Amino acid sequence: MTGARTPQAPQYPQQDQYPQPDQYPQQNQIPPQVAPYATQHAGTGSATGILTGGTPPTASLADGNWHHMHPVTPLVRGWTLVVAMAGFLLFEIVAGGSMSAAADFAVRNILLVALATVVLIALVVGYLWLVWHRMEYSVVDDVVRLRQGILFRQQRDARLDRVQAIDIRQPLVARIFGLAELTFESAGGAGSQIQIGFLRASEANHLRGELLARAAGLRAAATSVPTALPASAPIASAPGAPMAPTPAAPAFPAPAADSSAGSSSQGITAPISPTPISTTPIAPAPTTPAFPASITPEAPERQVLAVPFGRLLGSVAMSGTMWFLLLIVIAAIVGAVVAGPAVLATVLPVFIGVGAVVYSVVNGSFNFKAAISPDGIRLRRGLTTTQAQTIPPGRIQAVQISQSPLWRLTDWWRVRVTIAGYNNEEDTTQQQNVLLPVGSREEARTALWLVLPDLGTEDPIALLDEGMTGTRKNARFFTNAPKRARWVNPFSWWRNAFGATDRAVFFRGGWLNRTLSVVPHERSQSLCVVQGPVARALRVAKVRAHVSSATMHPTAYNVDAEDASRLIQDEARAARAARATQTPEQWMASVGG
Amino acid sequence: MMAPPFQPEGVTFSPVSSKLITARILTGGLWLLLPFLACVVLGIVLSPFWFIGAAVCFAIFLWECWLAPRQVHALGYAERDEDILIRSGILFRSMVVVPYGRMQFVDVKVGPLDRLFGIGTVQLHTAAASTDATIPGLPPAEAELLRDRLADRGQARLAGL
Repeated sequence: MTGARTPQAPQYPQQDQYPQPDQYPQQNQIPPQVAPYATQHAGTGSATGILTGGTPPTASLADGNWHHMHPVTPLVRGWTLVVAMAGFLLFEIVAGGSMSAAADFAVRNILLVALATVVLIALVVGYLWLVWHRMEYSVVDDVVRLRQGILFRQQRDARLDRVQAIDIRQPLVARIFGLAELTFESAGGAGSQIQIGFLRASEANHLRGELLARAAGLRAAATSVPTALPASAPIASAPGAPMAPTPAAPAFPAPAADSSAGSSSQGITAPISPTPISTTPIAPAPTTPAFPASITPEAPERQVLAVPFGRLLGSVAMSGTMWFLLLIVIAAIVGAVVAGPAVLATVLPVFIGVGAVVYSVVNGSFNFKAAISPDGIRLRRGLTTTQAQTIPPGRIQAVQISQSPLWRLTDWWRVRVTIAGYNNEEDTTQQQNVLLPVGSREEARTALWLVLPDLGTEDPIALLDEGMTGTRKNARFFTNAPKRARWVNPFSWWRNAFGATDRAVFFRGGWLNRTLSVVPHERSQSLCVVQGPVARALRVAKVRAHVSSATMHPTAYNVDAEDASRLIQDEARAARAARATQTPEQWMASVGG
Repeated sequence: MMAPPFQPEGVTFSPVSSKLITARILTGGLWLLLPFLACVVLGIVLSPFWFIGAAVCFAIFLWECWLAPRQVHALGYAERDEDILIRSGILFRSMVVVPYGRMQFVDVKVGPLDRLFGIGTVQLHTAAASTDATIPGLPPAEAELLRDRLADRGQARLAGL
């Protein structure tokens, strides 16, 4: 299969620039014909970064020295304060004359007031400067450090291989200055991230590339990585490809490459990496990927998902929020007819609230794009505040595919994920946990495919169809809740079911809101089975997989007690096996090395 | 013997110390003592209707005396090769399975009343906050042994997140 693909269109033009992405054990196990379980992808055109402008830095920022943030940082962080102060001063100056005693005093003692103002400004500026001066970051070997604080000094060190995600955020004001903030998420719960900001956008981009490369074990494992690719041996040592620089990643979604090169070649041949690679001499793949002390090239990527604006608006219009709004409007009209137009004024706050929700959804998911690269999954989104997330392989703990009632008309789905670092941040405005805000069934499949390329079945599409829209009829992959469960789940018993493959366990549920939760075996932290008195009388039980998330609770509701017992036993066994072979934290380093 | 899914094949659950029964009854009794006394005093001073409250408190206490032994006997844990099972509850039963390799840390807690009775609580924590794996009523020596065993096994099977 690889032989057919390599000559015409290698997905990664700079394949040998970056070590073989097929070192992921997960991805090697996928037979190529199964790999893309969606039949087509939105891989049109090269992904354009949101971060543009500025020349790339000439030296690596990860050189072990302490670096300051960009000098404009205090202004970007405290611009509201600055605006408020300026506004206050302006108001004092312009409107001061018409004011009372205080203004009189100000006018008569104009010098005093001016002096006080200058002192105040100097104090604020001095404080901001001190904060800025004391805030430094450094990257030494495989540790990223941030120190800050004036009176109470704090230094935080985080090991790079413990990275859960790296985000680059650009709030509106930062964009004006061409700055960006890099957030390094580790799994220590709320507030466990390291925020490096603000940097020049290009610097942030390069720092991210460097951090990811080191987190992947490229530098640290430089002596042990070389050609030992135990997992990929069957592929690499295939006859006919003796030492070719590892034929293009078999696992990446290049379904059309084999069959219809003409129609979809644009998505594959488009040169992707915006990075100036020519500056970095790199040894060919079979040898040690030795990086010189300069800049690590950013890993190439390929876009696989995008959400058009129209669909985003449509999804909002068909969401539950809009139903709520419609109900309020009807109630207000009825109220106005009955009790007079004054009632209309009372619904104004509701409109404002709904507007805020809609705005936050649109703002958070605007121009959403998902791409895949050897670094993992890259997500970009945002209207005013843009953000680019990079989630390295093996960091997603669980996936949930869901559909609100009206989305059935258009067969739209939403895909949420769980990442350890984002746990306790119920931040809906930034939508960090959303892997796909809204998309077709195929796109939802692709989104899941990004996380779990191998579902452990020969027919993943049928499995997912059954999980997404299936009911207890024609069960093939799922074990249904028994009919007697309808006494406790009068509506959803029709959908409640669970299923398991070698790779993951699936929980299906929801009557109006359809959901399908997917937990890779190696990611379930623990399991519990619960049974109340009524459930016992009905011989059913509830099984829940605990994942490191505050918001996602994959559960099989009221399934047969015997089935529940079997699920618990099998899952314990499967999880044990899966943990033994899971992706190493340094995902580019050799397995077990 | 329990019905499935709470009785996995080939697993024998170790019971917890029966001192936990006394500890629970005493703790519950202390909590009820204050409203009980208040009701008695008010009954003497104000109106005999307050004695109803006292009677209710006493009834709850009796119910606790009846419930605590059953609850404690329902508690159990079983160490298997790769994971630990913790079972609890009579009316609302639950069983949690925690693989050793998933444990992030183990707590051993001993409160003042626990110390009096010579028991302690072992709590297992994973990366999932929803994991509720608590074994109350272990003698301190046993609790510490269990903790050390768990820590050893966790280390041997450590698997990141």
